Amino acid sequence: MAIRKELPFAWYEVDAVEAWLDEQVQQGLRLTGVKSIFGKQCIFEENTDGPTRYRVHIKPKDGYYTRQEEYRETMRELGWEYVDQLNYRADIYRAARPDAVEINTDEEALRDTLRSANRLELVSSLLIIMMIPFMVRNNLQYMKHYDGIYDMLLDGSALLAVSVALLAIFWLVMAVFGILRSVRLRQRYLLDRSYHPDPEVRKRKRIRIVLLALWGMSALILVVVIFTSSGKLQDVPLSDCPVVLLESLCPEEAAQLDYNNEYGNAPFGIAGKYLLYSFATYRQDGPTIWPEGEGVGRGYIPFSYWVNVMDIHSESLAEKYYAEQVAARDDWQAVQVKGWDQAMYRRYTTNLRQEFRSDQLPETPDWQQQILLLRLGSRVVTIGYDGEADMYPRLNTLYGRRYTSSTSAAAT
Amino acid sequence: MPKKPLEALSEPMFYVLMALHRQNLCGADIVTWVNKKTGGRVALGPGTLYTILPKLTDEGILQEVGTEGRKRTYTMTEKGGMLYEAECQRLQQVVRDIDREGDEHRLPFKKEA
Repeated sequence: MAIRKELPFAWYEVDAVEAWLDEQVQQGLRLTGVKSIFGKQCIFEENTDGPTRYRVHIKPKDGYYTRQEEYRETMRELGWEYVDQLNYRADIYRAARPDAVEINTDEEALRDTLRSANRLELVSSLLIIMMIPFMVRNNLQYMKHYDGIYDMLLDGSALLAVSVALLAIFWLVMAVFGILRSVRLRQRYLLDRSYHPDPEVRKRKRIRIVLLALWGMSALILVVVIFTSSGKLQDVPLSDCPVVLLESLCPEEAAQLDYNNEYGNAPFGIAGKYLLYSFATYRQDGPTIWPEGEGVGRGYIPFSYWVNVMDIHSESLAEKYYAEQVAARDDWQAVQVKGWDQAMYRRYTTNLRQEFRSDQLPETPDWQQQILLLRLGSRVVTIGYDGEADMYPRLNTLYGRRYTSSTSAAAT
Repeated sequence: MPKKPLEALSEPMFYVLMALHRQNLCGADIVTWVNKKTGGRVALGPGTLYTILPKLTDEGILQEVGTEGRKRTYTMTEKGGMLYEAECQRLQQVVRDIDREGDEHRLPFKKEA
């Protein structure tokens, strides 16, 4: 029966690999091959041939492949059986008889190979370390678009941030370990074969477990977020909107809506799902005005009305999210809107850069925006309006759609 | 990257030339011959040999003279013969110099006050 074991050393740690293989011989195992799947998997079977020894042979740089057959034949004649390739620069041989002439890998070939492998390990480890700050910075920039931890938690971004952080630690541990291994390797002479890998194997196993755990947790979080967030958006009718539409709020502006222009700003509703909430967004945007002629230059939309409905998994989470949204800005004004547990209103002027919190966007003139934030149980509704009309006196109209019999309560 | 030209004969290289001085041999026979001749003092294994053989054949010091199955047989060229003779003379000169110096210098090293 084949037994697979992960090779705990890099292919170029010749002395350690040989000592480790000798330990496997003592455990009654015989190496039959090496597979490269996420590192090096050594395949063993029960050893019935008695004691033997293994040698990792670094191939000469020049002329090896033109002489490969001859090379192996000479090895065979001198008592060595080819087992498998460990790397394109290294082969593993097994002594087929006790008096096999020692292979004696050429020291210069070994030194050159080690030097280049070591350099590669150092450079790649340093590159990984250099990439980590960029990774963290991008993550932080992404987080800037959120109002707080609950905002990030609802759509899974908080978990994604944790996943990225775990991945950054994974890379850091791997890179630091790579550098340490590289430095230590320079300090030992591989051909004296006095290296005892036991404690090192245990240490590396621990590091491997840590790395696997970090990678596994990071991947698991990613998978959870992906599978709980529906990538598909569904069209939903505007009639599903749980608050009134623009027609009830500003009939004069609603008259300008073009429902038939599906390539323009036809009102629409879409719904989707994220980690801890499902949502529906309804938009009623005014027609685009093109000051320089239809489709020429930059146009603008004179008014825009949108409703974002979030059905959050639990009421307590909805309460916290609501409180976080309110705390994120200091210009909220508490209002009462009938039919809702909580309501806040704010009016402000903004522009493109402020709206998206980015200095990279082009400068635009300011416009007025009014936002109403409502909560009822686990449902949080955000209503936004950009335009000339004053929504404040009409706030309770929003209640009308839910309770058609009475819409008289005034905003305070 | 151009190959590094051979600058000096190493001890294993010299013994490879010695092995091929009077006979043509294949790789395994060269290793066996050198091990026997030096009593294992010169660590010439197949690993070392197949780093040496391409260098010596590229330099025109050795050449292949036959193939039998996977085995190739090597011989020394005229250039190789001259190089081997020159190295022998150099080593003989070294031995003569040692002899001329007498036995005293072989005593444990003592620095004069």
